[in-house]
Amino acid sequence: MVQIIHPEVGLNLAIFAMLFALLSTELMAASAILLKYRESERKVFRYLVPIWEVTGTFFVFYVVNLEALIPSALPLIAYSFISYILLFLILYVLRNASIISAEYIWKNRKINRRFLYSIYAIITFVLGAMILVIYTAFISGRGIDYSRMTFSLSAFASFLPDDGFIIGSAILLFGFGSIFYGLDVRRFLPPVVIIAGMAIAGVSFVYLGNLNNPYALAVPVILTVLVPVLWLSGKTRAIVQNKIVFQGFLAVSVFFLAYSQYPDLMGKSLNILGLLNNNAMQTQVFYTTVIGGIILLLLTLMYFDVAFRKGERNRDQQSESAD
Amino acid sequence: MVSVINFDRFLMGYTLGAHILIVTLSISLSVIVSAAEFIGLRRKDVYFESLSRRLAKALVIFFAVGTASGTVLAVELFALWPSFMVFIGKVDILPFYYEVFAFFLETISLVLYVYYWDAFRNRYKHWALSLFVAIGTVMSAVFITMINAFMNTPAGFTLVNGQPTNINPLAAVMAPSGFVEISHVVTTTLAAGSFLLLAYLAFSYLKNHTQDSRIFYRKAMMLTSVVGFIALLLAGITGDSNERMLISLQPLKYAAIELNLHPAVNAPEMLGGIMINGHPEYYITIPGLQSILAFLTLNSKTAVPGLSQFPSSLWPPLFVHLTFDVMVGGGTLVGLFALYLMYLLVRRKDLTGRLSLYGMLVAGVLIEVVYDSGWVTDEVGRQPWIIYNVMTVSQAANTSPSVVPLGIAIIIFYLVLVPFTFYFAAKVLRQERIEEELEKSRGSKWYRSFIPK
Repeated sequence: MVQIIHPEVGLNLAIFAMLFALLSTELMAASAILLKYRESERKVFRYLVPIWEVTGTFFVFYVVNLEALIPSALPLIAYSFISYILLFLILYVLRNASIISAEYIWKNRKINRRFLYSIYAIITFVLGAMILVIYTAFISGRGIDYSRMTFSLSAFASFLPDDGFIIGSAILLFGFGSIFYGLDVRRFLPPVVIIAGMAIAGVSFVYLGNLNNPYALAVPVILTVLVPVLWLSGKTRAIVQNKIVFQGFLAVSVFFLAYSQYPDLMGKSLNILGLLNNNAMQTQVFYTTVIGGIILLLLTLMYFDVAFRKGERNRDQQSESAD
Repeated sequence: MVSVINFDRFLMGYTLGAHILIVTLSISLSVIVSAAEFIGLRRKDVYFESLSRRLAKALVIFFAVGTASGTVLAVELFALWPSFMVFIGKVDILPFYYEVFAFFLETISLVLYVYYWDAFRNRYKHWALSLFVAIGTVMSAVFITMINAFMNTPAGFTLVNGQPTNINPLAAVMAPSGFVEISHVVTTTLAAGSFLLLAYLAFSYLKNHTQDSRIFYRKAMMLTSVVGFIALLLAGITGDSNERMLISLQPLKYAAIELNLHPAVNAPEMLGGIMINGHPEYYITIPGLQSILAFLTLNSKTAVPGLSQFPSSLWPPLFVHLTFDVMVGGGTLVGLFALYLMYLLVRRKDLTGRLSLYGMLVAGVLIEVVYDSGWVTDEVGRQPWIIYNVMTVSQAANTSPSVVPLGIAIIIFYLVLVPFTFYFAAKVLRQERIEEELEKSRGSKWYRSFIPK
């Protein structure tokens, strides 16, 4: 039976899905930077440089929405993950500092652009892993002691599905990376890597918590398989290499992945509906999200108009004048 | 030994202090970049157009680090003060939420503004983006100050057994001190950033000797000093309103920052002074001035509040009187200097005399001391409360000892980060010579469109 999702929780999952889609593009870029730097200069930076700030903004969006959705859960997160949160913050500032330095670095023998981008890439991997650890821990509940509000990484890591989901997700994104950025790789490498990643992450996810809406998993499975299938054919390749379509696929997949567990967290020991904020605040947050969402949509349209249409036109004119 | 609560308190204050150093520049740069481009386009002045291009690079750097350190603060709020954020989440989370969308406006507009500079046929459309950046930046400050206003003068709920009931989120957003506090924060932040920038421009003027660079920096200093003067003038007016508002809304804070032991009619203004054995020492007084400033009349019969009206356990640390004096005294000095600069501009004299240039260097440093003193006065003046008369700092704090080692790491990290950010921005600006920047502007489609062939 289809379970109707609470509108506020639905919005929160949608924000999380969009955040994860944006973050994924950075994780994919990170592997490209480390493994194929020269090619990344041509294919990755053009996309990454304007987008990394937006990812940061989405992160703040998600955190504030979470604070508004379930304020009473904040002490659990704050106490259980305080060490991770503070470490995350240091790395987050370092990420911003390294990429902005890479953009504007002057000629220097010791620190060059490649070095700074590599630092950015490594930090992005660690940040992505930390987000996945916290997210996975909240689904499985392993490692979190609810009554004492503590988190044990060893207890978390000793549960195989936790590890499998994180490793599988990393492999999956590695496979997606060469498609998303159009990197030069062997034809059958991305499909093989994607299917392997999906199998590991998918099976692990099933065993993570207790699925309340298992049919929802069909959506990420279909979309994940669709990506390499469309990519393999020359006629449909352009569809998945379109950045908006790809990110749309990712966001929809993550949304349904998260929805498959709804409304429970921590292996069914925590029902999110019991933690929701008061009605007065929920109503205001809902209206604000709708109005803010419209503003965001308009800004996104403006972004794509300028970044793609005007940006392409400008590049064409520059290359014509160079000729 | 320092308790975890005091460590939380120090860590929050420290990161906030570091963050606002960066944010003052982000806010002022966003306004000055927009003004410079507009003047450049209107007057077809390549120097102002180049100024906007050049400062936009610094804006991106300060924005990148500023947003990251802002995120650090946002997350620290719930990590270090979980009970406070639970309360805010239930009653007054909306300003944080509004701020996210101002943040989006700022981010997306800035990305387009900087990375697609020459992609616009109509340059006024490009300039409009800078306006969005400035609006987004200023509105972020407005919304964050709304939270601070709520902490000072909470509203929109009824407290029953420590729990908020009858919650009205919109009433909480419109906290009584909101308007006055916002107007003061926005103007002081803009003033602080402008004078800091002015110091950099004066320094650069002194270092550069080519004709183009001297014209460039002279024009930059004219624009920045006008923005700084207007902001400082408004900061003075709003600051005065802010203090008078305390008499009715936070009388204890008022008594502490004025170091009034007892309520008094015709109260003197006390300059300096520390409390020794329950009595103020080392101060001078100006008879009657405090009451005149408080009630804007010469013979008011109303008494100003005194500390003795409140239990001593609720008094904030009384050094806030000194930080208040530093804020007002330093602000007045910078204000007089700004007035001198305006006098020169009105008389059509140059701002490049030695007094003006070295004065700008001193004012740039002094204004940051003034600005930080203002924040210390506001925050320490509310102690022991985190939300005035609702929740104390101790009740809100995360007491997990795990905070300490990583908190120390954050402190060390910021010690490196803030100087690095200023150094890096200055170095990036120095990399491209003014002449090259002007050449770039002269080669742009915009410039060629109005230069006869």
